[in-house]
Amino acid sequence: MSSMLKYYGAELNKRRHELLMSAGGSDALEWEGERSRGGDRARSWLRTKANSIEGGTSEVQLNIIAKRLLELPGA
Amino acid sequence: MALVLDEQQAMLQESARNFLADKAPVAHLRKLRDGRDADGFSRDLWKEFAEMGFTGVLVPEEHGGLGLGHVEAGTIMEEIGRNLTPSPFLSTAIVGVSALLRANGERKGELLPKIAAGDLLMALAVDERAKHGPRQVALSAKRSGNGFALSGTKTFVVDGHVADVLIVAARTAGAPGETDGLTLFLVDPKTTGLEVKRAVMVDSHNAARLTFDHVQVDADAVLGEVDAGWAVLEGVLNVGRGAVAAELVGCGEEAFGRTVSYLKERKQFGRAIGEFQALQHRAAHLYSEIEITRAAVLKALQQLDQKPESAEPFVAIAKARAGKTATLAVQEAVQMHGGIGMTDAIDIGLFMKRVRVAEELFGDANFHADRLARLKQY
Repeated sequence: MSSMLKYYGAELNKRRHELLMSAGGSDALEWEGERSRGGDRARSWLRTKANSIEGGTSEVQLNIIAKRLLELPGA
Repeated sequence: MALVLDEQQAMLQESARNFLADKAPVAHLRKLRDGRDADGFSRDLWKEFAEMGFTGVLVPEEHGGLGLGHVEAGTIMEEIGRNLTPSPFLSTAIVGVSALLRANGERKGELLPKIAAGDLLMALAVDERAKHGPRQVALSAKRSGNGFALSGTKTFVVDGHVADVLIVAARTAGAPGETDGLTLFLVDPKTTGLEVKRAVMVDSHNAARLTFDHVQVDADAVLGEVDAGWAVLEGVLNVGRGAVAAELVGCGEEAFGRTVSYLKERKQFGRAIGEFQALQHRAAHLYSEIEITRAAVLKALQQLDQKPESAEPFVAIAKARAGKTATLAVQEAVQMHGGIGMTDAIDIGLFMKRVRVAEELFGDANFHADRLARLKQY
């Protein structure tokens, strides 16, 4: 269950920030400057890419779900 | 027409590939970024672009260029994408030249040879809001003296802060949202009342914000016809979109190639991570996406050369697919590289940043899917 939440939460947060970047358009792409509050949105977007790597990758979480929860065969 | 490069195009691609890998690999972008270079690109490299003939790739031979087409220009864009090379090639040699080719005789004859020689930079100022919307142009151009006075703002003007001549889309009639009443002007960025501010972007490439406060231009600054700038603007934008799609193919393919190498090298749980079938399938899927996108982009570039009047749907497909495919490629690249992909120590993150900006430039995948749906009357 915790694997599912970690997997889903990480992927959802990445999608959420992709959407924010898309909605923000060229303003969200500014790395420096007042209008972008120092590239706030872009920096947050990049940070989310680590969500599916840190604390056990999404691939590891999926393996756990497949093997422990669904009891699918294999190593 | 076969969806492959002919012999001459393949030769040009090879020379662009060798030249850019040698003179402007990703380390070149890093150096400009880390040195906080005021221009954001290398003028020495631009001189070499001119010596290679790249600056004049689309310039007709009678004006000192190579007189080649969009497929050829696309091969150079693809290599630029592969190396993340910052240069005014898109804004000047592709978009700028395409606009001048649609201009009146005098300015054309004056400016094209300068571009081919590497002595003149241009930039296209269209968007005023955060999302691409050429119909939404509101910047006003009112008749004044023997010309016009321009007032309003522009954003995401690629290479705007280094351009010697700006191409500005302005409204001489009608309301934002309408295609009639648009006029293109060639504007000297040093004109009184015009403020040009560089914006440092996430990908360390150039863009600028412009503010026009009663900027006075002469009547001969008009590019094309007054009130009838839309057709020219769309033609120029389509050329730019095709070129950016080619750049995205280069970015995506390079990020993918580096990832496949990493899958073969990186050992975890006692074996190469590329042995895991879950990753093999994702890599195989991505390979397929890239190949189909490459074909769609080449098709669009061929149409721009042979039947520009009917290129629009092909360009929409190409830009939409290229944005989606390159985005998938860089996202998979970061994830499959794991923790190291997040760091600035390797180049993968730089590809993700560039792809995000190129996806937004001249309309994202949603914009182009919408355009295609409307064109086909879905």
